[in-house]
Amino acid sequence: MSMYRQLWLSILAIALLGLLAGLYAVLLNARGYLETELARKNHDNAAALALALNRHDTTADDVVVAATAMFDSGHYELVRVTDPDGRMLVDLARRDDDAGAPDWFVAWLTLRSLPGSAQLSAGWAPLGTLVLMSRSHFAYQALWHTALSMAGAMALIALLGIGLVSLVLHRIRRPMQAVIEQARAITEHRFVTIPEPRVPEFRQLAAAMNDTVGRLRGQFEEDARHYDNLRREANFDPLTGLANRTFFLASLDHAVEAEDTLFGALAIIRIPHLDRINREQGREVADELLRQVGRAIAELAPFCVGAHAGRLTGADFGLLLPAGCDSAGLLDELLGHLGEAMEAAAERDGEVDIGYGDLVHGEDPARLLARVDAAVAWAQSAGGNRVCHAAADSAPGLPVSAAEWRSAIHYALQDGDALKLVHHAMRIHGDPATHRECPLRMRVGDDGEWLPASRFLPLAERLGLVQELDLATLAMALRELDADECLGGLWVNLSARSIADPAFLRQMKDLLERHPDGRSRLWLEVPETGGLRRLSALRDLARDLKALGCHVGLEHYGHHFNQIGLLYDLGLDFLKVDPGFVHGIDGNPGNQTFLAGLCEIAHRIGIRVYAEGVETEAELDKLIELGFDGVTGVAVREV
Amino acid sequence: MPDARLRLVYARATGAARPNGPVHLVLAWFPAGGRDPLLLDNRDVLVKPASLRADLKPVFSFNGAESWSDTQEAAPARPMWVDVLRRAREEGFE
Repeated sequence: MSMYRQLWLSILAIALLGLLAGLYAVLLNARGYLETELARKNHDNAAALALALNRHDTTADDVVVAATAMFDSGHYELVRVTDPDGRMLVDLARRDDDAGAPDWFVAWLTLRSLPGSAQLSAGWAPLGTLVLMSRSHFAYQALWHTALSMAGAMALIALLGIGLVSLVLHRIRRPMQAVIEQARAITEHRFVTIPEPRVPEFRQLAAAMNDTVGRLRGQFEEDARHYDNLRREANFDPLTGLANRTFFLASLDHAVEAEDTLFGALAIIRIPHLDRINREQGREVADELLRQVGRAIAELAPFCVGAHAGRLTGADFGLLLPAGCDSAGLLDELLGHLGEAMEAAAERDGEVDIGYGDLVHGEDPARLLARVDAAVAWAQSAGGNRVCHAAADSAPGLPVSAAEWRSAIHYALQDGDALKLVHHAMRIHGDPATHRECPLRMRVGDDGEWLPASRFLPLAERLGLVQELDLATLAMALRELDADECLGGLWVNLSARSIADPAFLRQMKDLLERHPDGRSRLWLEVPETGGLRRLSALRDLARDLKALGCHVGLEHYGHHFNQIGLLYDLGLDFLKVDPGFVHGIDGNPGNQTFLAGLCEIAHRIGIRVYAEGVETEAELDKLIELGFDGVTGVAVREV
Repeated sequence: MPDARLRLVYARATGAARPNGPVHLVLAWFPAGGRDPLLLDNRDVLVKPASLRADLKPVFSFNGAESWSDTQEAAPARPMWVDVLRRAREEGFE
């Protein structure tokens, strides 16, 4: 029972006991008074009759007549006269049919009054003894009325008292709820602070908890800064601030392999005459130039969310563009910006060449790089300062225009056979249950090829259909969970656009409420970049879904590690670290330190950490050693 | 001596000299059968049967057993008599 209810009940019980005791005391008192009065009346009446009858010539017959007349007046329960020899002269008694109060009341508060008695005599000669007892009917009636009016008055007082108590309790209840809410949030790993309540006891409690949370948070942020520096050193080019070669190539590797990659195109930006600038104008000018190029590329990011830029070699920059954005237009704009920056610094040596090509799922990354590199060379040979496209052989039979894609996706949503979840095994450290990542695949046409999500999801997002695809995915996952009790967990992607859509959230909650069993084994992952941009939506999602028993986390995590402070009060269950940081981890001491630190501070706030895109046993062993809770990727995939 | 045999009697003192004399308290002892009680008072030094006391006319009698309406209550039926008994006890009579 809750403390609040216990308090309420005990106050009620005390009030009730007090009132009952008061009522009982009043009734006992009243009964005592009535008993005394009755006894006195009995006595006085007996004495009065004896006085009236005491004459020389009174006979026993006179006594009988007087006593009988007295009884017949109706006020007596008993009139008895015995002569001096003990013989009964008069013995009249009656039982009241109407006791004057309910039977249980009479039985409970029986009036015991003494009969009145007097000696009857005629002159000096005793005539006998008179005993009489008044009827108790009126006394019971008076007692019963006292009981009723007292009970009424006490009930009124009790009601007033209850009103007062509930006011006081209500005043206590609010701060109590706030403190309880905070405690609950902390157990769910949302480290929130609350305003201190005015009730002193709760104020101390809240102050202590706030203080603990604040101290945890300070420590957490300090560690996060430290590990963020390590992350930068290990993965970023110190000069330009963009990803270094290793990190960028790891991301590229994953982009062509993963089904759920967000990238759609690779661009290479080359400054062909950097060597000459370096030689003729000095290293400092060249460095400044590189910094400017880095800045111009980084500034592109806000216009296409999720772009990933890196420095490939001295004069080559790589740029992974998210699927579904207008690559050609964006690169043209970038070329304009770079041209201005370069011209100011290097005049005719400030040439910039850009080549780009679309990612093809499953293509060898080296081949892709060669293809795009050829496009750069082509741009250079065509006169420089231009953007060239490296054509890829596109698959036949696929939709081309947006309208065609829209109808294909609509068709897939209605037709039960055109969407499916593929299962990829995961390995959770210390958990023997089967966990599976399940990306969505779609088929265009009845016997078409199953397309990975990266081929159609970006388009669906642009067409505003991604919410419906996410719902369909959830429904399929829940069905599979209901059908297979042994499945430890299915991990399903949610797009960031969906979680910010109130209609989607409502439908998702309805859906989850219909599957009470399956939903506790559902793990929902939102991409880091989009999730952090919709922070309040993510917070609401985590709170609502955890209340339903689901698990919520971020995938492709690590690029925004510097914002890990934001996760502090979100209450997420897990982070899946981006393959870019994981790739080749066994030979990358910088990232080893960073990831070990990430695991440590995430674990401190109750967040589990998994690695994505693990390819080799060596990586796997290293990751577990660093403190990861589990991995996904080719290394653990069952064939 | 059993209590029931002893009674206090209010009597009016009558006589040749004073036909309507003052009210007077007499101690009466009733023998078995109880017709003619023996009387003790301060008008006559001898204890005599009632039949020999023509100067007394009984009005009302009582004894200790009838003086209490309820022994555990503080309000006796004959409060003045109870007061006399209390004073007697204080002065050493039992």
